[in-house]
Amino acid sequence: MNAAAVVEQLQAFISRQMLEGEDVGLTATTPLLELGILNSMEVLSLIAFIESRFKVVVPPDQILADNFKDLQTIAGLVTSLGGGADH
Amino acid sequence: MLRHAAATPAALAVAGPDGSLTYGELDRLARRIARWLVARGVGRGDRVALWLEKSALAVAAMQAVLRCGAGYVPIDPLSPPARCRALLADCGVAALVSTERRAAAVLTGELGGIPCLCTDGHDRDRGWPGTPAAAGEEPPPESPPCAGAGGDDLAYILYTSGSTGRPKGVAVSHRNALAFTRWAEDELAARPDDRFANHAPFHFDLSVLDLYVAFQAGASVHLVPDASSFAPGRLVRFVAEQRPTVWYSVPSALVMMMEHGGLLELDEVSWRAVLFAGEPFPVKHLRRLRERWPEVRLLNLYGPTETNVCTCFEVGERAPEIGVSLPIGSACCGDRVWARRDDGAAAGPGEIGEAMVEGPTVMIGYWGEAPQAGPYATGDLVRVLAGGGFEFLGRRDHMVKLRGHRIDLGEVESALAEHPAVREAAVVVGGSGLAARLIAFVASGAVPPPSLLALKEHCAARLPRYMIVDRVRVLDELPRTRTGKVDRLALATRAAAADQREGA
Repeated sequence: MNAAAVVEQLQAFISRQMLEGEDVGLTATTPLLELGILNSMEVLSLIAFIESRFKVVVPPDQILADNFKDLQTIAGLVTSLGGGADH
Repeated sequence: MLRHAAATPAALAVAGPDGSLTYGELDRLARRIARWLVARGVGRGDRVALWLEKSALAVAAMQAVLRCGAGYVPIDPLSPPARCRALLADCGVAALVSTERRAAAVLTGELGGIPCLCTDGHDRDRGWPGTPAAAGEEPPPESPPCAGAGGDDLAYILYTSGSTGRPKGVAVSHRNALAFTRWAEDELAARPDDRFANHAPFHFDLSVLDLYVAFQAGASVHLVPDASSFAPGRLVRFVAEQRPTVWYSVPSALVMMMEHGGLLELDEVSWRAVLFAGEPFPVKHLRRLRERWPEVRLLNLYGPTETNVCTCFEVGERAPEIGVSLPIGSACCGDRVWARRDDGAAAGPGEIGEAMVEGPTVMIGYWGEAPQAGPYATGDLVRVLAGGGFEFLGRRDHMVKLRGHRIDLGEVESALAEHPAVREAAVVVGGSGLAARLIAFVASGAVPPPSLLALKEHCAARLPRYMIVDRVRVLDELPRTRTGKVDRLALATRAAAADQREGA
């Protein structure tokens, strides 16, 4: 699975869980934190999803605003942790 | 602060993400910034806005503003430029301390003439007075002309959400602030070897305790970087590494640290006192904290920004039972606090009334409005407890608390109503505690109706981040009561029903 596929799965999860499934036109660079789509609690539920779906562990010190600002960045974090390599 | 700068100049004063300052360095840096401000005409009674990330430099800037005899106005670093502009204009600032990029976004048009000290470079004409790292190298310049401010002079203005759609500036005097910080210093028996954590952002009144009680006692204050303030793993590591002895935050932060940061798994903790305010602490979590570290003092403080802290409850050896709410305690800081029944009489034990506060911590008034006269009516409903003190029950009006942030729903509604596709909007809160969400009901005739993302973008350009709506329901018309008002109860019921479906 490549980064684009990771973005797609993250997008589906966020749309379902945080935007009630509404197709709002979320893109890889929509500012998730600035628009309040992800808040501190929702970041934690997203991490739980990432850990189970991509079989990675997100270390606590990687839970930073800079790593969760948009889908593209989150996908970068996932792949850097070895997630999405081959599923 | 000046006393400690002279007596113990080598003692640590502030540790921030941008470096540390001793009392001597903080004093020198504050004097240099004050000279910059005085050279631009800032003097007694003026306002100086601070729009920057939390840093040791920002602390020095606050000290500098006070030394000029002026009051500082801390602005949420996450606020959109439009809101920052509105605040600068509202209180008519004489100067701004910010970054070049931020300053360029707000100091235009009518505000174009306001001088800005840019912390990331140099000011427009004279050169930046120095980074914290360089502060120690400079020869100390002579003191700026101290305007001798104190007493009823303005110390700072904190902006809070307002019902008319316009934020309100709570103006706090030196006397107001000192009534609280002296009480807290005494209550905590603060010592020079204390280490205060500063979790709250500077535009939040909780930060007043961390910064000023530390400086009164000659202790150090350790700033939690903005980006870490709700990152549970980072916060727990901050506690383990910085070893603060006093911690003060909203309960949400502590709950996150327990639930997701491994706080209770630390072998030991440096805390001797943990204080919290801003929202009720869920008893279930408080009990775990109490049981894990029985020796740490736990203090529940209460008070709206307008009165700073006016009551305090110390959690005893045993936390309240589950199902019993945590009291907010009895009056402190020299204030008189009582509950006023609807008929105007003071509520007796077991009775409910609106919390009223009179005394030294009550603000000067809202900026630009008549001074506060007589007791301040908080809008909070409290029950008078049989054994003394109060229990917090909720609000009388449309103000809500979300994760410690105070939000007047009317302000969010006004912002939404500015959207061209929105005819009318009503906002309610769905869920509770950490799962609470702002749900907007929007009347719109537009086809297609405005999307959630569009309305979020609209809010993000006008409101602080914590006031951006989480959910939008588009209706043809908002439901009305018989008197023609928006039927908020019906909306809240719909929101609660939707919330249950979501949770299922």
